[in-house]
Amino acid sequence: MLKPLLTPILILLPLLLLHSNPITTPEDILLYIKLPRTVIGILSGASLGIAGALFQTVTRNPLASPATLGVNAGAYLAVTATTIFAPEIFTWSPLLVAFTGGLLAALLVYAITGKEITPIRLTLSGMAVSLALAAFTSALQLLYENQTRDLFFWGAGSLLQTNWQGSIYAAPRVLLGAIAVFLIAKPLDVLLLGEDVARSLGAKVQWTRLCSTLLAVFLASVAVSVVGPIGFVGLVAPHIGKLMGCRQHRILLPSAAMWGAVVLLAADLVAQQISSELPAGGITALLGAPFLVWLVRSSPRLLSKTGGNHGLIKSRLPYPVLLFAGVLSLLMVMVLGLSLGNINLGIHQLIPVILGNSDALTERIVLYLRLPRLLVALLAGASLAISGLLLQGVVRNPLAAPEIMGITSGAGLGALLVLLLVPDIPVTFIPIAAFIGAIVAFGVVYLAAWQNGVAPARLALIGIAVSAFCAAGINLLVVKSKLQVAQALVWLAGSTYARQWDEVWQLLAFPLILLPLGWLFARKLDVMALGEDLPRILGMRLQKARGVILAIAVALAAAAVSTVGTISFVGLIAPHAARLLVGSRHRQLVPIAAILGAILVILADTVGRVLLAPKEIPSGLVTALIGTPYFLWLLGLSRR
Amino acid sequence: MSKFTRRAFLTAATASALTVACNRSPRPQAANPTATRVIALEWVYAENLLALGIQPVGVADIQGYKRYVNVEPSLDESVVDVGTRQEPSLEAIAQLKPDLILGVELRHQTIYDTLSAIAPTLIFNPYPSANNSNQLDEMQQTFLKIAERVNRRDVAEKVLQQMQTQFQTATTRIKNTPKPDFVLGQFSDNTPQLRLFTDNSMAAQIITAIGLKNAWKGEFDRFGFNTVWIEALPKVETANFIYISAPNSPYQKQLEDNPVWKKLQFVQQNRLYAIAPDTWLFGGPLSAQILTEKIIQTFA
Repeated sequence: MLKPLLTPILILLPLLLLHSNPITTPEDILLYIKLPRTVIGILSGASLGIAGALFQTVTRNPLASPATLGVNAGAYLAVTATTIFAPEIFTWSPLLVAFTGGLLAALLVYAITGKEITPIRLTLSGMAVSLALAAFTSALQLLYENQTRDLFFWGAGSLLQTNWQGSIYAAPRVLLGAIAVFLIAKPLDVLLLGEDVARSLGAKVQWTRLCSTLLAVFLASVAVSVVGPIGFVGLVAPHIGKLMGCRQHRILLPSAAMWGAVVLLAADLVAQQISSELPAGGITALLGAPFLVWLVRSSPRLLSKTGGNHGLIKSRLPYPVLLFAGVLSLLMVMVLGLSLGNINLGIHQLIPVILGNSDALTERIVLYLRLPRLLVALLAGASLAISGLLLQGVVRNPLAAPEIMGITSGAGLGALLVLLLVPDIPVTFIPIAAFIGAIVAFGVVYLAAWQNGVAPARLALIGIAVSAFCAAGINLLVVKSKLQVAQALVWLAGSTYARQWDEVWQLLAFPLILLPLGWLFARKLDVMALGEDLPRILGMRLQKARGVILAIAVALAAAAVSTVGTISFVGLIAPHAARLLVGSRHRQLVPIAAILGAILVILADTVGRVLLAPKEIPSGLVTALIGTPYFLWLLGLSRR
Repeated sequence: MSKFTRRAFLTAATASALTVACNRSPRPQAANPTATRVIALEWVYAENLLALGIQPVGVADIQGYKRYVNVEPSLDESVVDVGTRQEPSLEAIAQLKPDLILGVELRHQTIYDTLSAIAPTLIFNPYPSANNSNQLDEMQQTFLKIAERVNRRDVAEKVLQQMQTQFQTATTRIKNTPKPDFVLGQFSDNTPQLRLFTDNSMAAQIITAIGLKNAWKGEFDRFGFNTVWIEALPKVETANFIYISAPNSPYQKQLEDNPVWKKLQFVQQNRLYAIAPDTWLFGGPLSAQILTEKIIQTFA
């Protein structure tokens, strides 16, 4: 019975010695620098471990954790926003800020997931919300570069301490939270029996749930407010406890707390071995993501049916009218994009440019500066939209998108790796590196998800794990490369900045070939929407069809990302909006989604150029800022 | 439906007209040997132009320039802001009709082709990667190259001569400093981070040139500094600690209460020398002179 508690202690002790490294350092450094760092590691690791265990019990979902429920991202956004707009509130109570942000994000994720809390639904909505909030955070960081310059470092999760202040602040709060959690350990055991049994035993199910959720968010927020958003500790720690045989919460909770401390301290130790500036948060993700893959592969229970609920309100307009209106709107935003910018040009100035008899400056601005980047935006938008549509069809989940399948962050990692490892490489190779990165990342996802075929739910979850892994890698590289942060941030945010005719020609081949192919295969997606068995009965070779469609989707997304960086939300939103307009038949969806995606990115490019001119806002941030509220509205709509 | 087809045809026709129009190569700029309308996309090159007596027509992120770079002469009110240093507005640049654009490899290599289609473009790398070159040498060479391009080599040589003279003045002024060892540090605004400058950095080169000795022997870094925290300081506690700190760096304050900090030799013997935060360590000859002046003020 005591083994699950003794083992982490036995590991923790030598780890402590290693971590504080007492032999070579004078006692003051040990006492005032190393030890506070160790203590803050133990406190926040324990908080995250307990929070993870609570979330997993409350949602009866082995994949729940502060990171997957959006708590980390929400807290981080709240901290960033208050640092900029109300620094006095932040210094007054960083915990309150982080707690409010974390709680709101968690509530949002619950609300989106809806009644049926399957692991896949919960994880996908958590991921989508996290992405949305992260986009807001980086928008703020780019626009208020001076105020938030070094939050990026904190945002990667660092245990670095200057004094005992952090520990003195965190210790009583963690202790208080832990005691409160212990008081509800018994009712939590009852909760594991399932709602009906628990209720028949006379347990106050709702009350226990509410208390534990609040406590979990509280504990996670304490950790975020002192060491930044650290992922995966909250996911991994409770599982190690469970693997060691802890069933009852009286044992499971302390065990999760101690394993949390072990994992975080070990990650910090590894980070310090590599470089004195590496934040522990990056390492926990690098270690935790493979664990998540293993967890998904070894739990067949996770693969309960996905909520393939595509039933949105269908508009009553006939299809040809919609298509015509779409093309017309596309043309209009193109003209708008051509005429707006640092100087605004009227139609009477645009026409001479096309006829070739305008002045040199106008011609340069319209034909060589605006038109190519608008065309790149058009092509990339259409490609991302169709990639998202196909992925959502295959995974049978409306929340799937290139950024959730590891494609986007894989491309980012590939590009950044090449940028840093071979700094003298000609810039033309960076898109190629991004393309390869995207393909490799998705290849890993696909292979890891293969167990006698690829189950859509497993594919999505492993995609999330690999995305997190690549995102952590990107964070580490950005932190390590110092001055180049601005450069990397702009590229990572997704940018149509300064795209030229070369890039138009480079990108053109992919949509030109793959969009019609996507349209051809779209009909198979209608059949796939019927479930696992029906398509087989109808004589469809399900795995092969999935493979082909996925290949098209990945190639489209990879081409787009390698040209414009990680523009997110287009792949998520454009298909949704298209479904809202034309219903669920994929052949009709393909052209409309492509047009909507193109319009979204063209608008983003134009807004980004015009809003703060001559300052440019990366298009990826604009799509996220336009897209997030729309996305949330759509999700609300689809649940009605 | 017939209307729709006609519309589609028109679209296709316009598109192909555009394609034809766009395949004409951009009109070549007349190569002007003496550039007068110059745009600087990095602060150091704006500073260089000012040192040569030329007001640039456009500079990237003027607000940031004014915050960090504190040289005389200052930028005219008429100089146009062309956007951020990372993604300057190409339209704003084209509109200014420049005859020379100055950029930095790190940020502007990716847009070099587009920039040079607008005007002749020079891109420099202030961070030489080889160990045998240093940032101070590179700065002077770049300064001379720019001067040649705007036909003011004589002015440039005079400015550099002035800088060297000032280095010598400084050398004699602080000759009597009992301890010539120094460490140059820069505190971050809002993380517990301290940059310690390595030998190849311009700032360390300047301070070495006036007779002091850099005690920080960190590994070579392209940008010229290692990022550390206080564990690293006991190694160099016998040196003088010259530092730049942001006006309200909370971490510097926290540090002052820390027992490790209090026991460091340079703290106990009061050998701490603060330098104003508007001293640009990545600038040109004028910034170099300001740094030298500040060092003289603190040591002499």
